Amino acid sequence: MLEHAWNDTGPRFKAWLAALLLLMGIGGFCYTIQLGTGLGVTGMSRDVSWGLYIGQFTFFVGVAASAVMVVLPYYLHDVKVFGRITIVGKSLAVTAVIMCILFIVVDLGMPSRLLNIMLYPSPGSVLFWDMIVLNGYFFLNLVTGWKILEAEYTGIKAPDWVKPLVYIAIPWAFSIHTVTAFIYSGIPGRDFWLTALTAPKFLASAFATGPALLILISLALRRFTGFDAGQEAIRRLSIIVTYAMSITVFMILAEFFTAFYSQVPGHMYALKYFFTGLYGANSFVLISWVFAGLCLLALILLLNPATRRDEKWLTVACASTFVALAIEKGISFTVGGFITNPFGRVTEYWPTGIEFGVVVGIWALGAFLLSLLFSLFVTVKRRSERGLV
Amino acid sequence: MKKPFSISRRTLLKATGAAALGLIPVSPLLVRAAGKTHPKALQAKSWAMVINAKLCPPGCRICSEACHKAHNVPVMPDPRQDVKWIWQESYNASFPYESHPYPDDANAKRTYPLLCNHCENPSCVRVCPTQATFQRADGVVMMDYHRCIGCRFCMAACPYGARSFNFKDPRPHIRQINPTYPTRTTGVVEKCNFCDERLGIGQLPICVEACPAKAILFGDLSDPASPVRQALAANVTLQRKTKLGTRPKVFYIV
Amino acid sequence: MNKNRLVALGLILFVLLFTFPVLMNLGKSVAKTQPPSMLQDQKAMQELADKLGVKNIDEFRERHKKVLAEWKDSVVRDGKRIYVTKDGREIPISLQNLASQPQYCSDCHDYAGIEKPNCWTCHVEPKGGAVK
Repeated sequence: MLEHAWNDTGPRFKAWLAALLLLMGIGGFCYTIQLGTGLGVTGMSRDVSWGLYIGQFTFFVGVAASAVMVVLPYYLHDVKVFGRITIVGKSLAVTAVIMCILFIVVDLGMPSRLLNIMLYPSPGSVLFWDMIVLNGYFFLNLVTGWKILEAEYTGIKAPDWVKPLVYIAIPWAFSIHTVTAFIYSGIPGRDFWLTALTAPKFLASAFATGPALLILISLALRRFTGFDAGQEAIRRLSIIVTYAMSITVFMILAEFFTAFYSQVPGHMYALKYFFTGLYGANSFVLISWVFAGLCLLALILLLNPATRRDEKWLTVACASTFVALAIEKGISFTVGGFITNPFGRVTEYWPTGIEFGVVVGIWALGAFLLSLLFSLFVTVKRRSERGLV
Repeated sequence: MKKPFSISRRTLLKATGAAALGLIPVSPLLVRAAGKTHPKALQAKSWAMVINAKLCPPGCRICSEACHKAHNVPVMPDPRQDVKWIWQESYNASFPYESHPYPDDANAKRTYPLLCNHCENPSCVRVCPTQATFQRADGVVMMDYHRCIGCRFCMAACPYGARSFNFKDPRPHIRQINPTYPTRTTGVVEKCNFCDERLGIGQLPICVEACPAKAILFGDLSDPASPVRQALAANVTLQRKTKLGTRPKVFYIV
Repeated sequence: MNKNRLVALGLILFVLLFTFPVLMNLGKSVAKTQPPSMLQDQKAMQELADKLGVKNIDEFRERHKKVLAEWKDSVVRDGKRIYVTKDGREIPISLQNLASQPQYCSDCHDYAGIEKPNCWTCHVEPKGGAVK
């Protein structure tokens, strides 16, 4: 079955893969520099000890978890229109989890000791559980996605054990992002993170980001490959994005209220740093207002049915949602926890070129895998629909 | 066509999976340390420190210098990637949640030596995914540099900024290497270990001994007769960020 | 036919790639250095074995990696700085003590072509160098 990912593709696709391979090479080269010198080549510091890598990990765990937004309605509530899009969601989930694991590995100071997490299990540590749930989610989606695709390919029903695994994957998706949120929200001393709202906010933003990305991908697939996930499926997804984005923005605004109405400095520092600068440090102000503007744009376009139903405006809305939340979860949230440092000072963080290089390399790897997975299932679906089983 | 093997694909996969279990390394889990405590080792239930910064001579850095020299702590060129086990901060920076903009004249000029608080309820130990940082029975929060994977979760979890990461190779930046103590290497987190190597052979931590003003007291918090308990009973003391529940064991006489 | 040729080519490349280290060293003399002079010195070898806390040099060869792992855990994780050997002897645990002669560690490791121990990225090698 796998050969269909490659054989039935044209030169444009192969050129796209080649470009991605080049970017992966650049990322790999940057990583070797980092391996040789140490994490000192990044913008991280004693005060801001986590940065873009962990931010991107957080963001892509959200993307991975969001597959549940199509799987849950389809399997639990018989929303048949999601039938064609679940495989897109599963492919995205598998790819996103791989990217997450890669982001963690490139962030480690001693990647050669990675297996220590398994050799010396520490059930008290959230990272230990993160390792378990991420790997579990990966295998669940990989195995069930594969079996279901294979069933389409051969025309034979998938084995019975696939269904229970799909059902397990549904709460499991919620768990991966909750555990990731707990990495942040369970440690004292970082006021910006120490709120129970972190886990619900992560889930809400994931359920806005993921479906937004799914919509963008489905529209692209329809344009480039003729694979149509279905008008109705996209319409329903856009409603999910609307609700999820509204809830996300509400939660973000709620944080502003708690911080600025209580006037407790610890709660205000990070938000001030982002939107006005703090003690003269202001490198995140521009990007934070871009985030705010994109959120507003997305909400306006999504809440208005006329623009939501128009594919062109929907594309803009989904892209805004994705980029806005990529900023928020992909870097700002992580950095915010370190403002201010334990001594009341602000140390700024900005990723270096090498950091960007490694991140772009991992994005390219994700796009590469995703493209191959799409190529695979688009071809399989095409064949099965034509009765070529 | 005759098949060379009559084994089914399922059976082959099952056998491979079972064989792969043999790759699970068992030996690290079976290493049993056959060690004995040094006869002179200092024992306690809960090591703690009381620091009387009022006795610190202005600008004195002897505790830091002694500690950093003995423990091969590097002086990194970029202050953002500083490595420090014990260092000095102003009153407001030492107690950001407990101080106000109008300190008395003495405190306005004073610096406080800060270090790992070896908390009774350490958040860093809770989060470490490999138990590379762990709490010993005598209350010392230890670092096992052999096991640390450099994930820096402990650095995020420490509310006191007590931990440093080796962003680059520290060796070239160590002024004078002390051969009797290891250095660390790129990619691990490090911090004060209450001089466990000295406690283990019956000596007090080096900052305690090196301080010319005898401003640092060290002892067993659970022993009412210890120097720390006596100092705590006789002086007004502060802990850093008490509200967070970490129960730090470094107290400051203010 | 075309596919078979590609497969054969791939197989040959694979074999070449994976036997590359062997092919590179064909015909060369195995030992890159002289056999360690220490191997002739019975007294020094017994001294080394005594410092580790094992019976003789053969047991050293067999168990030194495991004993060093035990040392590591005993000192760092348990705070116990004295090693009790199988026959009840007490050895102070110290890499400085063990590797105190310049020829220790590197001579045997280099001669046997074994990857040099990475202890010395952190632990300070004694004067004279335990690893070249």
